Amino acid sequence: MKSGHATHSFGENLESVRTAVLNMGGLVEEQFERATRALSEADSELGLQVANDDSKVNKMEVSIDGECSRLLAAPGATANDLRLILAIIKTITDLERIGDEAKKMGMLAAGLAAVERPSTNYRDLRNLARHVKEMIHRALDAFARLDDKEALEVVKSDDIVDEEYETIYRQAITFMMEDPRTIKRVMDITWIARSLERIGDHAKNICEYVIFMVYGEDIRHTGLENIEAAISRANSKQKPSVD
Amino acid sequence: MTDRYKRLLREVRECTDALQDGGIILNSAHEIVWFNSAVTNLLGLDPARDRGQRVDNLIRHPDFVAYQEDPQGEVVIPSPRDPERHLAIQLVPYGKGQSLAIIRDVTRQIRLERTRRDFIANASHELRSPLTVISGYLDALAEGGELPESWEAPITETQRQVDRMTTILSDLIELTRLESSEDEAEYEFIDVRELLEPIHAEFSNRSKSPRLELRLDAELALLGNESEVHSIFFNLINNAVRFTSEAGDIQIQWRRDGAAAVFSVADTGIGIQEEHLPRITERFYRVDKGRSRETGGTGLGLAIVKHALQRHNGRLSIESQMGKGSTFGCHFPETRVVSPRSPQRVVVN
Repeated sequence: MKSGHATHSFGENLESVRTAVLNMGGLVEEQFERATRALSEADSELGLQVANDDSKVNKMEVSIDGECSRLLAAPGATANDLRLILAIIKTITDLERIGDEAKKMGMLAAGLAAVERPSTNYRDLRNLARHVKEMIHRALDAFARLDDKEALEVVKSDDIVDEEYETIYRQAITFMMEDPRTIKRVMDITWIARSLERIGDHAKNICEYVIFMVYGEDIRHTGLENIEAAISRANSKQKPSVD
Repeated sequence: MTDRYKRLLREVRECTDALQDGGIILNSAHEIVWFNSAVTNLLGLDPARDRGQRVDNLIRHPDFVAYQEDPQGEVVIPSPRDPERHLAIQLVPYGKGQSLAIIRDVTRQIRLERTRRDFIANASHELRSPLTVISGYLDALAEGGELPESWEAPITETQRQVDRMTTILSDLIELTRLESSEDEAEYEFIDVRELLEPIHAEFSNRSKSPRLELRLDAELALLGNESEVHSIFFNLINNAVRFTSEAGDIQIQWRRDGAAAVFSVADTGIGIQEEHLPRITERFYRVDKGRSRETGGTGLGLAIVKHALQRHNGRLSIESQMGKGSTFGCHFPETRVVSPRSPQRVVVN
């Protein structure tokens, strides 16, 4: 009876850490959203605020990290629980990095707010940002629902982000060659594009941890075909229970 | 019997699914028990999978997470499905810790509100430049001495009215600025004594002022936006002076209240009838149509005070008795107050 109670509270603790991760994700999503808005609305104050608020994200990472250490030391964890804790520890690192990139974007956007804007108002960047935002959001949804299919879709969609980044990068080189006076501005834009591309990668990582949680197979750096093969292999066996 | 229940249940479900507003039932652990189909559309929840999930696992916006901890009023967040849409969420507790979340799409209201604000801001800016020109020519005319004497009074009166319009416009611009900055004010150090003493001196030196007494705790400082706090102090003292006769008294205080702090202005003026108190901070609300216009008010002072205070997490209190006077208090929370003395000492004091 007593031990039953202990495992029950372990599960509860684990569940509340999971929620904390998702709340941290919500904060990161919001930071990203505000950084993008600072760019598109030329709001330098907002950009600096985003940079300033990054400490909130860092604090959450530290606190969740501590919770995980406590959970690892607690008795009564099953293999599934341990996989979840591992995935959480990795996920929050990626979330924290997304926060860092959002901070960089905020600072760059604050600088760009003061200089002349292109007539498109950074349409390419905003498009890229929209895709990336969707990736973060879907990755976190997949994490909440332990949805391997959605996670796989997000992993696949990272290719689009990489392509868009490549296009912006090439364009940037052309601009700088045509008119060296734009170099400073175009460099800043390239840095933002780079941050966006990195954030896409972090969202992809989170999805790989989701697949790891569900199947217990590490699919990182194996290529898409192998990921799909691994999933179907795992499906033909018994899918380990998630709860 | 079971058939009747089934039918009833089906009807309830059809009815809730026909609703435009979303409804989610949450248990005491904030886990989703049930939701209607509008929620799928508004928030993107999946009826097949999301029951049993904690609601903030899926609605992760920091404002909602904070609101959930302490649900007061409602919270407005962008829809997770479409950032252009805004949703107002209200949590209604019932039973043993359960709650019902009601979700409304308020995109239209928010857009309207923004249009209204932009309109006022633009109109005020546009009106200001012609006014500057008018006031410039009026000054030249008044000083030139080329006009017949009979024109002196009309010119002075016109100057007065132009000044009034200028004040109204700058108040309007200030108010729109306060309304559109949704976040709380910054936490800059403000030496309240340095801020208050010049205002006090300015009003005391006026010829027809009532007696103004200033009592302040010089060690007590505030964290906030200096120009907004200046607005709060100036508007409240200005109001008190306008509604108090020359023979009256005005007491201005800046003091501790436990760990928090209060700025208060008490006058022995005409007072405000109780029925007006709830509406008095609305813009252009007049207690008495005639009197405040005579005394040169813009009708925006208290609205500015209220908004500036809100940005400082503060609260405005008003006490008034007809014929005896009014007391306006600004209550700043502990987080906004700096005092070098230890809290224990304050209690003893």
